[in-house]
Amino acid sequence: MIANAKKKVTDAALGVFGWIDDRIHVSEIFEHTAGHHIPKSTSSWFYVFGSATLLCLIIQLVTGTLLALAYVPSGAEAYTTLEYLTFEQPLGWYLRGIHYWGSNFMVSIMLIHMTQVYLFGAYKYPREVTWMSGVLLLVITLGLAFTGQVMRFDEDAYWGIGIGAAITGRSPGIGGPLVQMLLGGPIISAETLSRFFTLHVFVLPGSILAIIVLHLRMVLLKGINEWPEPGVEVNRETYDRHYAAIIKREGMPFVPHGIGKDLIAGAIVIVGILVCAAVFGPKGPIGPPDPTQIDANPRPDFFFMWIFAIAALMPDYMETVALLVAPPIVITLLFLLPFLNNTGEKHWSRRPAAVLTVVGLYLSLGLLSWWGITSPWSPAMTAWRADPTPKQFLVGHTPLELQGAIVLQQKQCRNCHAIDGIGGVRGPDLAEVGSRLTAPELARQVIQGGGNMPAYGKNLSPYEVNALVAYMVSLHPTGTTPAQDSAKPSVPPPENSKRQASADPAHGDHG
Amino acid sequence: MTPDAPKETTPAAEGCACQSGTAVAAPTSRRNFLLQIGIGLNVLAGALISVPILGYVLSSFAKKFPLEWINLGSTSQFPEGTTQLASYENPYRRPWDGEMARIPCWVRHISANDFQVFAINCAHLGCPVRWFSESKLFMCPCHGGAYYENGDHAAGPPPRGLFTYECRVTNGSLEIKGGILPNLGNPGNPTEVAKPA
Amino acid sequence: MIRSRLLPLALCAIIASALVGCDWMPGKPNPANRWKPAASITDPATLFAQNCLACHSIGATTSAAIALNSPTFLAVIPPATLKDTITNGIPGSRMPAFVESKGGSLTAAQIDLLVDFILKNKKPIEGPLPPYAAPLGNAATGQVAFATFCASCHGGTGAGAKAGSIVDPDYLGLVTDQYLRTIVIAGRPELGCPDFRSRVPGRAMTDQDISDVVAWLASNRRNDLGQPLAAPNP
Repeated sequence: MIANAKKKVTDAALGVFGWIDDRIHVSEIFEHTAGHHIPKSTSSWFYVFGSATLLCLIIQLVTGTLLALAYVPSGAEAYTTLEYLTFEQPLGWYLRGIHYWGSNFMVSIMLIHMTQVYLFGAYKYPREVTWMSGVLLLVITLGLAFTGQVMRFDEDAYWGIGIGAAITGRSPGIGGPLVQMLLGGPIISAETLSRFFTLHVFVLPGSILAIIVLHLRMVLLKGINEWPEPGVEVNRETYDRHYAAIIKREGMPFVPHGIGKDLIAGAIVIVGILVCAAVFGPKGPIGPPDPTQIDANPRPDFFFMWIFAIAALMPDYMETVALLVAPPIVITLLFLLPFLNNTGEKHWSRRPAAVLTVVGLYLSLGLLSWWGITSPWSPAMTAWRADPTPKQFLVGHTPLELQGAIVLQQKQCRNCHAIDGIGGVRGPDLAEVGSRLTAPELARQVIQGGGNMPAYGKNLSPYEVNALVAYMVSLHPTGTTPAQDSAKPSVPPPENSKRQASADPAHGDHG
Repeated sequence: MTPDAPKETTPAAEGCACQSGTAVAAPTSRRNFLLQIGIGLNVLAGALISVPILGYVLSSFAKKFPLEWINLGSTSQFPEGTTQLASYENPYRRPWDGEMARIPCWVRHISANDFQVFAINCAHLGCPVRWFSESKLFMCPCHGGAYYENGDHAAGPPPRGLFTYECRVTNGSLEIKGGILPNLGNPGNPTEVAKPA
Repeated sequence: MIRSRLLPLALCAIIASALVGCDWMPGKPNPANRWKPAASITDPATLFAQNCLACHSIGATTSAAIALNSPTFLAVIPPATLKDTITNGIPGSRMPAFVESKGGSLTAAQIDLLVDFILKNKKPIEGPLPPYAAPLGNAATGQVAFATFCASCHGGTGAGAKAGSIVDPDYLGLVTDQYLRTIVIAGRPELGCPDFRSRVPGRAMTDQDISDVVAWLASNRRNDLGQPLAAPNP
């Protein structure tokens, strides 16, 4: 009886499926897409990053749509709705966290995918379009990341737009009108947010979906890159036959035989995003996008830290080039890579230049990002009020030197100069400055500045200069002598020479 | 670009349902005519619809936002010899701009009717500069740009001094000509003599 | 059959635990960390650490300017003076004005909190206390008093011995007479300079001694840099 009933159910199910298949040709579509044949060698852990990136995108689309249920893209309300999402809407913080970490995962996994594709030579004949569409996907993803950081409409977003406008404004000739177009007006305003919202929610997701269709279509048309073998060169005349032979010899349908590792990797990615969101939570929002709150300390999100660092480290004359000319050149080079290097060896062990490029690129990006995070070029804006002077730099000092220590705080020297590691790191640490520079050298540096230090000549009274110099001269390790003028015989200076020396430079008309 | 010679042998290309190999009948002149009319009409319609779309999108590119005189309030708020934060309302504000509509600036009262008004935005990349009255410096938190009391470049990466507003004193009130986010493409003060760093 | 009844229950349990569970996950933003304008900070210890600590210690650190936990200093300074000093600074000295309206970082209410915070350490001190402020005394008798109370460290002429010079023109060009008076009264015990009661064991400086020593120190102020003096008088 039971067996009979089971058979009936099975038959009915097959009947329903048969009807659907007859009408919309599911099995045929399946055979041509998910069921396409892939080389057995590509069922590898190295080949899971593409599908993992796509999975991240799907998570982003779902969580983004859900966030839009509460988010209001209005200059006056975006911040309020963000706070609502974060603190009041049940699980709003978690959805924000998933969206934030999803974007981090997406960018990172996409970069890994791209690196793998590059090192495996997959961009070569006949998969040029697959690679080029992939470069477009990278550009759009970075666009989504930047506009997404603006959606978190707090003070970082406001000044981030300002930085974007400042970079745009450097375009020769049309900088002004371009800024106006970017902002939707002459000043950052609600229309600016609407613009970035439109890009983030309509234009860029639409484009990324369209290009993903192309990207996947190319994967189906030209096949997935076989595992490269050293010594096997790509040749335009023979490659297609070579690939067809591989498929014939060891081809297997992607679903169900090739997808296992992708599924496992996908689950790991989802759990990774969920755990990161649960442990670290969403980012921000910090202060409101109120330009009159000038205590802001704008920093970009992680993936743009390296640009932030480049902007600080470039010399003045290189900056516009680095910000405006270099990115299009790099993107174009990436885009045209398949034509620059269309055939030949695919295996990384036969392509040392490619390996070096990847290593160099990641080292530079990593180093620049690290610099961006630590920002050693930024003054510590509150160090002069908040960072105390360690005891050994005060005990045993003369009243004048103590006044110098106060001058050092009060004139904000500490914002750029640490003492024994406490304070700003823009300039050198002053803990032992007395063993490096003599009193006249210190006075000159203070008064005239130089080496990226402002000149304080107009802003310090001669007494302040002398007190400051006296204090700095006294900053040398116990038991050592202060720095000596190398042009003078190295004898201990007479009792009153320090005072004379420090007073001299201040005799000018600085006041 | 490359002389590719793709062979239709990829697995996906097989099984294509095009067994109806009958050639399309030679187009009659009437069909040909309709096709040409159709293409022509669509080109025309496309041109027509692109005018408002492009006009809408590019309007902010070409639109002029003339600077306007804005009152910062009585000069007595700014004691002589000091530099203070002031703020004004964006003359092109929208009702839904919220707190973004108030734009800050630094007012330096030199003497009597002699004022200097600086934009808050660092000339390097637009971050908000802060005034330190003790060392008489403006410092930027982003990349460490520093400026002197008079707005001149003092240190760091900025390619020029602080952006300034044209300003005047009318009936005891300080007025500035504002309404733009100053940037290197449009510094927003035609009267300013820009000094290189 | 049992399985089909358990399934919805299990689903409900999972969803419920997800809903409840998420809210105690470590990543959940704490409403206490919500952004607040700096003017809304009301914890005086935070305010002190953010605004004062670089120059003034309160016990845990050292500082170049006077320690604000100095018992003698707290005993003599009138609270109104303390408040006025934080609010408006001391023109001509290195003490900036901290009130917002003068470009500072604190609101008037926050300054009141700070004053209370500093005066919390005030303890009663035995014996008569000199007034915080007083006119200069007699420089000539001041020199004698200096020799008695201060010369053991600063030398007979004040030019320095065990401790540094107290008559350095640069030093005197930077400090106000009130500053000198405050140091004569309160000393810098944490840096080795005793207060007015402990310089000579068993013999506190009198009001007159203090005013006279300050007058003598001030009389050493010279203008040998040809510059206007930073702050000859408070």
